[in-house]
Amino acid sequence: MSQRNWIRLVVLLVVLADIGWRLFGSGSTANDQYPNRAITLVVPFGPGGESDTFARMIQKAVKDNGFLDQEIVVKNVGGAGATIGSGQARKAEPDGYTMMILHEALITAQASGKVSYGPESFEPIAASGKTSMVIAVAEDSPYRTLTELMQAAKEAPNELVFAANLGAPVHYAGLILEKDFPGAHFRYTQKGGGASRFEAVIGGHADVSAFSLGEYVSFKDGGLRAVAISSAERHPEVPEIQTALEQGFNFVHANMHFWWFPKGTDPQKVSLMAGVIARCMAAPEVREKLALRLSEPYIATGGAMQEMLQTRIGKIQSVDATSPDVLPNIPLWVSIATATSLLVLVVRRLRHSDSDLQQETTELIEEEPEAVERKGRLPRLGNAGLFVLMTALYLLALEYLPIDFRIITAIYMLDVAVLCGGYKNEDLQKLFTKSYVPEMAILVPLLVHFVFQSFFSIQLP
Amino acid sequence: MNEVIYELTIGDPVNLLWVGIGTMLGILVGAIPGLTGAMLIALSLPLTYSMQPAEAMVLLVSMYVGSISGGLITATLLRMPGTPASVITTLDGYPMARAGKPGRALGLGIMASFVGGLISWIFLALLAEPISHLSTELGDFDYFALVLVALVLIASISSKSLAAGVFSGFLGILVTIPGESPATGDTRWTLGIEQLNNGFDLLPVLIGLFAVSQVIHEVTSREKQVESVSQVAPEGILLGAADWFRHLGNMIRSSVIGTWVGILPGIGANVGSVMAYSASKSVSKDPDAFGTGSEEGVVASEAANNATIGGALIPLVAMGIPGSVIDAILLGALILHGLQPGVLLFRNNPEIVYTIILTMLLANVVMFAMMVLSAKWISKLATIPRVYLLPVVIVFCVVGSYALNNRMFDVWVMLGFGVAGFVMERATIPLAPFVIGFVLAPIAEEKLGAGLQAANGSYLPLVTRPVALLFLIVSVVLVVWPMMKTWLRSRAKEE
Repeated sequence: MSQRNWIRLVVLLVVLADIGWRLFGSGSTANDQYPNRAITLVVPFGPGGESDTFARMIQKAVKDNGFLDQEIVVKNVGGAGATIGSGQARKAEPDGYTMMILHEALITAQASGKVSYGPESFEPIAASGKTSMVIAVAEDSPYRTLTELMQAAKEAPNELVFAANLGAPVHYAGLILEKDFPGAHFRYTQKGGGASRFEAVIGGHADVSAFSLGEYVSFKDGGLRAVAISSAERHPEVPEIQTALEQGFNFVHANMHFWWFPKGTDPQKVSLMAGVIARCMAAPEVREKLALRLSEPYIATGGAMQEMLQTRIGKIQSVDATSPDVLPNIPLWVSIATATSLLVLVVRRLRHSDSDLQQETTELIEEEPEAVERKGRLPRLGNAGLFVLMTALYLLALEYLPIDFRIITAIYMLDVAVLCGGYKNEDLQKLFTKSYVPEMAILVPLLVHFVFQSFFSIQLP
Repeated sequence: MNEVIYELTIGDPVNLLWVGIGTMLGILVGAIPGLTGAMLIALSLPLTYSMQPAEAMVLLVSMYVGSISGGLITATLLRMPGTPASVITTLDGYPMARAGKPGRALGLGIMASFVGGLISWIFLALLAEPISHLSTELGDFDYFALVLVALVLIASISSKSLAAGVFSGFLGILVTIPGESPATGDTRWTLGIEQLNNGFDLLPVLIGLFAVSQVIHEVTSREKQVESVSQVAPEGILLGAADWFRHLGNMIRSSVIGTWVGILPGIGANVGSVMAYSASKSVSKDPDAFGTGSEEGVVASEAANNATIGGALIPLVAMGIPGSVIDAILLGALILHGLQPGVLLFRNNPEIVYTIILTMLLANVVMFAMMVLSAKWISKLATIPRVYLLPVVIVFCVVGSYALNNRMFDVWVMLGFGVAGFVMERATIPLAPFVIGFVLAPIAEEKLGAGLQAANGSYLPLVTRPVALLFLIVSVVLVVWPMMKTWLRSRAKEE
């Protein structure tokens, strides 16, 4: 057998294996009972963060204990304060096969005007896990209690710097405290994640910040001191921290992970999923992992969850998150600078166009004679347009046509090969007899699909 | 410590195997445009659930080292940076390869990567704890001034046509405006498109500008093979002692710059290579060669981007503060395995800290061996006929952009910037300043915003804080110096 036939045989075998694997390998037999295929869980943050870790822990518990017949597939859609992911989950089919995990950021994003929708655009499934918040200052700070801190914020309003993640729950912790102590005002500064806030506090760039209990415990030896914890009673792991409640503040709060379906999902599916999450939270390995992170295996569903959600929404909406505007209008300045530099460039090019061109050619001749020759042969600019058009069509097909990724990609690869090979009509036959392009166009999409879907568990469009 | 060494080498060969697998996968992913180390490590994270924590860290850190190094292969041979960290390598690596020295260009890059990794490893091993405390001393204004220095370097690396470079840089900054303001979290310029709330992501923009625009360029070309490297001479990969010695000063300087940039949170390998490249250019005897195939340029960029690995690991192991995106994922991996990073890690799980430190050294050695041995084979990449190469590259670009956030929007962004990059190239507007502006502007805006918020709108700390003032002066000098030089030169000519 010739080399070509060997390669063809391999391609054929791979294709057959793929079809066979899909028909018989996955073992799932279609039935009408929900769920009969994998459920996508949208995590609106990048991998590795608090929400992602929590989601994957539940995903694993569901799989290991067989709480569902089908798998849950985690889909990270990060960015813009979780609004990219929440927007995607909101627009998903309410068929019970897309759900989302997202904490209060769903409420705060709406309250701060970042997006127009909030919890009302979703069906809440359950609230799970409970992590207290800790208000902390630097070790050498003069403030030892929450009262001392708030008193200072009242005596010199807008002087104490609060390291926050603007528009996120940490920011609201400060705002809710202010509301409880009329006259007190912090100066909020954008710091983002826990590590940056910690750094700002111990470096003396901010006076105070809020941390999750887990963050606090890991950072405290770096020079943090807690002034209050947001739990109703003192926490057994850190009994030395006074609660905000016992210092006279009505600040009882815990960060929780809420689970959501798109609006309009069948209530039966909602309660089934709520049951699954509740069973996960009772699983010993989940409890063990949560204890390590100082979270409680709390779970609320149905009416209890609805009530709690309403209280939180009310509390968050009762405060005003707008900070005094002290920043320059950066978009304006950048636009002006770009326009000016473009003007300078155009003027210079127009003025020097003749001399520049001459210089360029002499340079080219000195450096590389063949480059000049190449310049003489005009590039096929039409091809660029064709290529872009083809790619756009390919992307549209991926996005909107219900055809498998592998088939569309194979066709697209063939097209690109024809285009860049410069084949003419009469040469097309050569493509199939003289080259391995068709084999490649079949194999590569299969391999890419296999690697992404099976190894990285990313669902391709 | 001795136990860790024993465990990592002879005691448990499994760990050595993980170093090999991790480094190899890292190099592979690093070399493929569209796939980055961050992606590989994030996606491998679930696979480490069942491993011991130390094993998991061995695998992930090896992937980190491999992925930053692998990018130089495609950057040099195809002018498509495999990872964002090797954008600067394309400036000189590719012209070298085109001039018939692809083997030597690869060899220099590999050597510099190795030395950069080693030098930053020494910093990591010796100074992990003391240095990390320094980074918290720096305030927002200090960071802003530092980033400003890196931003004005745009001017110095585009001396051939200053006006085009500056315009390109501002254009890059302008592209960061749509989406979420890094200073306040408010969204702006989104035209009501929700998908734009997060702005344009770094990865699709870079893939578009460098890989897709290059594919478009190739499609329009009349040559049969990829235009980049016509004849491959793989000799020269293993450099002689004279070469090592000649570039030693450059490598040490670039590595130290890379390490220090790595230590600072939020600015990663990309900035490190820009700063080292500019520094090398300004002290070079032959600054005009930069950008046309200068050996020093390749060495500076590659030494620095590998050096940022060790630098960025320092605050991670010492304080639990990630110095880059990949470090943030490593941090997540530690938490996932029930380990609290930070000072506690040193006290409670010193074996994990030493494992991370030792793995970096081992992976660096393995990377060097793998790259040297396979470079001959890898450099053949450039001789693959276009009909095979381009379809595969473009499919990887599409899938990689999609996989980043699981959305088609990023793929459209990639295509859009591919066209933009192609047009800019044809108009002879350099791409490097665009990328620098695009990467640095959000950091600068965030730091300036946070500083102004904390100072209630006052710019005074920029001149009252000694570090900020120092960087501010440096950036002014960097702006004025090239102009002075041109002016003096033109005066000398007249006389």
